Amino acid sequence: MKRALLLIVMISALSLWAAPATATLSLSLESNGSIGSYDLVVSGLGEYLPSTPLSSFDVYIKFGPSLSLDTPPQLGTGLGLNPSLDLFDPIADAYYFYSFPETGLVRLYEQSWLFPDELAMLQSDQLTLATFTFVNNYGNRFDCIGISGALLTDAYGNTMPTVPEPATLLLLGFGLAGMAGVGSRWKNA
Amino acid sequence: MFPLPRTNHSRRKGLLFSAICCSVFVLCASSAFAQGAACATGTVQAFPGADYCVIDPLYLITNYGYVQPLVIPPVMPPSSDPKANYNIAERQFKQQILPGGVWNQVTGRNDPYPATTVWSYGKAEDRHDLNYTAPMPLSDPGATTFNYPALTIEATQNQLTKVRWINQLFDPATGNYLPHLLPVDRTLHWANVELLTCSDGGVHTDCRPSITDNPASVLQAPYTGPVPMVTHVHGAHVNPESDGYPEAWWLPAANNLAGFATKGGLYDQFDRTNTWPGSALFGYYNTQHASTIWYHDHGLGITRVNVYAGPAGFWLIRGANRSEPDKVSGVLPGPAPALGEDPNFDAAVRSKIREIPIAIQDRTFKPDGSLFFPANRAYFEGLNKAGGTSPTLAIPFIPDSSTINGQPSDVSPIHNPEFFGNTMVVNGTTWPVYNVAQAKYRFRFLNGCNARTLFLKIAANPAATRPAGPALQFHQIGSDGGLLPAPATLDFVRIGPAERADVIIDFSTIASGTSVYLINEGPDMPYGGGLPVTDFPPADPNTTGQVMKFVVDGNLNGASPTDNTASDPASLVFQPRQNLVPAKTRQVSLNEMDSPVIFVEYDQTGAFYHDVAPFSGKNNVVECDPKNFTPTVPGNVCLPYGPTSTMVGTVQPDPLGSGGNIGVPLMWTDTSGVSKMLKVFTKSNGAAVMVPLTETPNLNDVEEWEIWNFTVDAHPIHLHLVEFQVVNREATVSSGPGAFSLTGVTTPPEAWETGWKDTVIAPPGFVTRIKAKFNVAGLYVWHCHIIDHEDNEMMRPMGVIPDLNKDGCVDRTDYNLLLQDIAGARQYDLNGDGKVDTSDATRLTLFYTNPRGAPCK
Repeated sequence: MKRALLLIVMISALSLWAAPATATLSLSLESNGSIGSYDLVVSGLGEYLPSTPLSSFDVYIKFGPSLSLDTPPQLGTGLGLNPSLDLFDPIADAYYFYSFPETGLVRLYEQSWLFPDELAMLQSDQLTLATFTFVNNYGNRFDCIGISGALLTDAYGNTMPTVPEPATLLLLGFGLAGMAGVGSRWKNA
Repeated sequence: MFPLPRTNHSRRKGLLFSAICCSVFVLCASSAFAQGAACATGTVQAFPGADYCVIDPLYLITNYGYVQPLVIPPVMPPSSDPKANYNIAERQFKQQILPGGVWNQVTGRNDPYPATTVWSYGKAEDRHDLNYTAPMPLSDPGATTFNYPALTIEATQNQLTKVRWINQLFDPATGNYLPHLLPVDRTLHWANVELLTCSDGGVHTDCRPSITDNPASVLQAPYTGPVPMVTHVHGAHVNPESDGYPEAWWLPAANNLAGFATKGGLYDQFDRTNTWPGSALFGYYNTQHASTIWYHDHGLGITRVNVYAGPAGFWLIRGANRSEPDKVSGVLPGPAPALGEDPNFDAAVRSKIREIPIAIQDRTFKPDGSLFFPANRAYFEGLNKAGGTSPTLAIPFIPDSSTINGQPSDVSPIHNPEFFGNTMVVNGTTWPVYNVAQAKYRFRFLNGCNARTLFLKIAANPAATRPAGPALQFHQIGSDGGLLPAPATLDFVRIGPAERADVIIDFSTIASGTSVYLINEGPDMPYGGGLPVTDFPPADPNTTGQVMKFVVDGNLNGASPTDNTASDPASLVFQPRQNLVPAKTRQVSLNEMDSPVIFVEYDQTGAFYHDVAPFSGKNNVVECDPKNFTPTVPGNVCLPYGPTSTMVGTVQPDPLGSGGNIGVPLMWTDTSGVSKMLKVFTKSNGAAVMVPLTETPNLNDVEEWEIWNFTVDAHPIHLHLVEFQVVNREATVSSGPGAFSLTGVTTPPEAWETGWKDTVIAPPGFVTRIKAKFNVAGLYVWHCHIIDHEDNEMMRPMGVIPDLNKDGCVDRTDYNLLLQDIAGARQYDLNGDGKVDTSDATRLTLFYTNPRGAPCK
C-alpha cells in the first residue's frame, strides 16, 4: 500500500513538473439539497498573462443519470461581459453555445470577440468560466460529474496545454492504486 | 524613380566579364601577377587587377586539398527546459574550416591555416568565449555544441518541436553587441535596425532608408551596429508566427542597444509567454513528409551576409522511431548519427555511419583565414572601388547624384547582385576527404551556396576534362520534400541554391584503396539553364569544380548493419505521390532591373569600356550620356547600368499588343497600386496587420503557379509553408520588347523533381509551373533563393487568407462555416497543428476583415 501511495505521489508530481505552462481545469461544487452548482474554473492563467490570454474554451462535462441540467450554464465574465447565443449579435463581445451531444454529456463553447489586450484586462490567474446548475432527481449526491474533454485556446488561436486539477490526478492515482491493491491480493491468494 | 526592367536582349555585361575571368581564374590571376601584383605566396588577387588579395584556391587545393576529414554533423541535444525542446543560440566563435588547427591532430600534418571566425547555432546552455574553436571532440570537457554548420535537429513527423531561438551575437565578456563580420549595405530595403529615416518619410524598422534624409557618409558606409536575426526552417510546414518572417527579427540582449530598435515590425512568437531576452520561441508541428529540411537565418535585407557568416543546419524529419514512413519496402543505408554520438572523433561511431547530411557551400577567405565578402559593388564587375587601383567603377552610388542628369543614383554601394566564392566548403571544411566502406551510403545533399548552382558528379579524376565521365551513378531517392515516388538513377545531380538531393551512392564495386571524387560541373556564374559544356562553361575543374574526395576502405566493410542488407536502390519502393488538382492558376514573374539613371559605355562584346582590355589601368568605368553619346570607339554603346536589383512580381498582357505577356516587377513594399492591402493578422491591441499583397491564395486552395522568367538567369524559387509539385516547363518566345509568349512546347519535371519540392529552378526562356495546397492561414513569403537576390527585392509577401466562403471578406459567416467544418469534414486546419478544432476557429478571428468579425457589407 505504501508503494501504491508513493506511486500516486510520483505520478502526480511528475505530471505537474513535466508540464510546461499549463492551465488547470476544475469543477467545484456548491450543493444545496437536490440542487448542485458546479463552477468550471480554470487556473494557472497567470503564466500566460498578459501576453496570451484565454480566448475560447470548448468543454465537455459528463454527468450521471440521476442528474439533469435544467437551466442554461451561466457564463463567467473572463471572455467578455456580454456573451450572446447569437453568433451574429453585433453588440456581443462573446459568442457561446451549449449542447447535449449524448445523454449525460453537456458541451459548452465560448469564443470571445475581444482583442488580446482587452481579454488580458478581464482575466487573472484563476477564472470561473461558467457555472452549471444540476438537479438531482433522485437524491442529493453530486459526485458523479466530471470533465470529459476540454480545449482551451489562447487569443492567437493556439491550444493551451491543459491538465485536470491535481485532485483529479489524485483520484486517478487512487484508482490505479486500488487496482494495484486488488491485483496484489489476487496474486497473494 | 522606378527602375527599368531588364530584357533578354540586354545581357549582363559585368557578370559576363566576371564569369569569363572566373572560369579561367588561374590564367587571369597569373596575368595579373605578371603585371606585378603584390599578393603573397598562397594568395591571389580577389579578381584579376584587384587591389587586395584573398587565399588562392588553386594553391589551397594543390597543397592542402583533401586532407581534412569530412565533418559529419552530430545530433543537436535537446534542452531540459519544459517550455522548449531546444534552446538554440546563435553566437560568434571560430571554426577550423581551413587546413590546420585541430585537424593537424587528426591528420598528423602541420597545415598552417588559422581558424575562421564564424557565426552559428548551438545549445544555449553551453558556455564558451569568442575564441572557442570548433570542432572539438564531444568528449572533451571544453567541447560545446556550437559548430558551423550547426548540429542536426532530429524531429519526428507530427510531433511538436519547440525551439527558443536566441540571438547571442554579443561579446560574453563585455555584454556588448558584436558587429557584423561582413559588409552590410544600408541602402537596401532591410531591417533598418538603427532607425534611419525611411524613404516613406517615417522612422521605423524594415524599410529602405531615405536617400534624401540620410547623408552619403552614412548610407555608403557599412552598417556596424547590432545584428538582427530570425531563423527560418526552410521547408517547414509551419504556422506563420514560427516561419521566420523577414520582418520578425530581433537583436541580441546586449548592454549597449540604446538608439537601436530591438525587434522587427512583425516580431512574433508561437509561445508569447517567452520572455527570455533576445529570443523568440517558435513551434513546429512537423506535419509534413519525412524529409531533409534545414534552418538558417532569414533577416530582411541581410540574409546573404548572415547566412554566409555560417548560421545553418539540417532539420531532419523522420517517422516515429526514426522510421521512413514513405518507404513501402526495402532497406536504406544507415545509420545516421544518434543523439550523444560523436561521428567525427569517435572512430567506432564514425566507421558505422552510412547516412550523412552534406552541406556544400562556396566561400572565399582572406589571407588571415577570415571570411571574405565583397565590400563594394565594384567587385561584381571585376573592378576596384573608385579611388583604388584603376580600373575602377567610378559611378555614383546611392545617394549621390548622376553627373549626367542630376538624378540620385539607384545603385547600391555595397550589395553585389550575386556572389560566388572561389573555394568549396563541405560541412564546414574545405575540400574534405571521407573514407567509405565498399557499401551503400545515403547522402542528403544541400546546396547552401548564396548563388551557385551545383552539378554534382562522381569522377575518378577530379580535374578531368568536362564533362567528366561518371565513375559512379547517383541513385536519387528524395528531394526537398521527402522521398521521390521512385528512385532515379542519374549520372549527375543538379541542385540549385537551397535545394536538397537525397541520394544513395554504392561504393561496393570500387576496389579498396581507390579514390573517387565528388566534382561540380555547375557554372561559376548564375545558372542560365542547360547542361555543362553544352550550354555554359562548367566551374573551374581545378578549384570550384571539385567538392570532396571519397577513399574506399575495405577495412570499414561491415561496420554498419546495412552494409549487407541495404537494398539495391532500384528495388526500393516508395509511396506514390498524391496528385494535387489545382482550382486556380496564378501568374507570377521574375524580373531584373537596370538603372534608369546611371548609364555607362559598353564595347561591342558587351563588356564595360574602360580602356583597352585587359586592365591596362588607364581608364575607369564612368557615366555616359545616352542623349549626347559619342562613342570612345566606334560601335560602343551607352546603356543603362545594371542590374540594380531583381524582383518578383505579377504578369500582364503586353500593353503594346504583341500578344505576349510582360512582367510587372513589384517591390517588397509595393505602392504602385498593383498590390492590395490585406489584413493578415491582428495585433494584441486589435490593430490590423496590413500588407500589400498580390499572392493571396485562399485557405486550402490548390493553386498552379506559372513562374514567368523575364531575366537571363535561372532562379531557384522558394515558397514558404508549402510542399509543391512541379507540373512542367513551357518554352517561351520573344513577342516584342520585354514580352514573351508561350510556345506550347513543354517539358515534364526532371526525374528528381517528381516528388515534393519547396524550391524549384525556374530557367530563363521558360514558364515553370508548380502547384501547391496552401493550407495554413497567415503571412509568409516567396522568393528567389539566390540570397543576394532575395535581399534586394526578389521576395514578396504571400498571404494565405481564410476566406472560407470566398466572398472577399473574412467575417463571422466564415467563422460559422468553420464551426460547421469542425463538426463535419474537418478540412480547415488554420493553425497548422495537424488537427481541426475550435482553436482553428479562434485563429480565424485574427483574420477578420473588420473588428470582431463585422460583415463587410
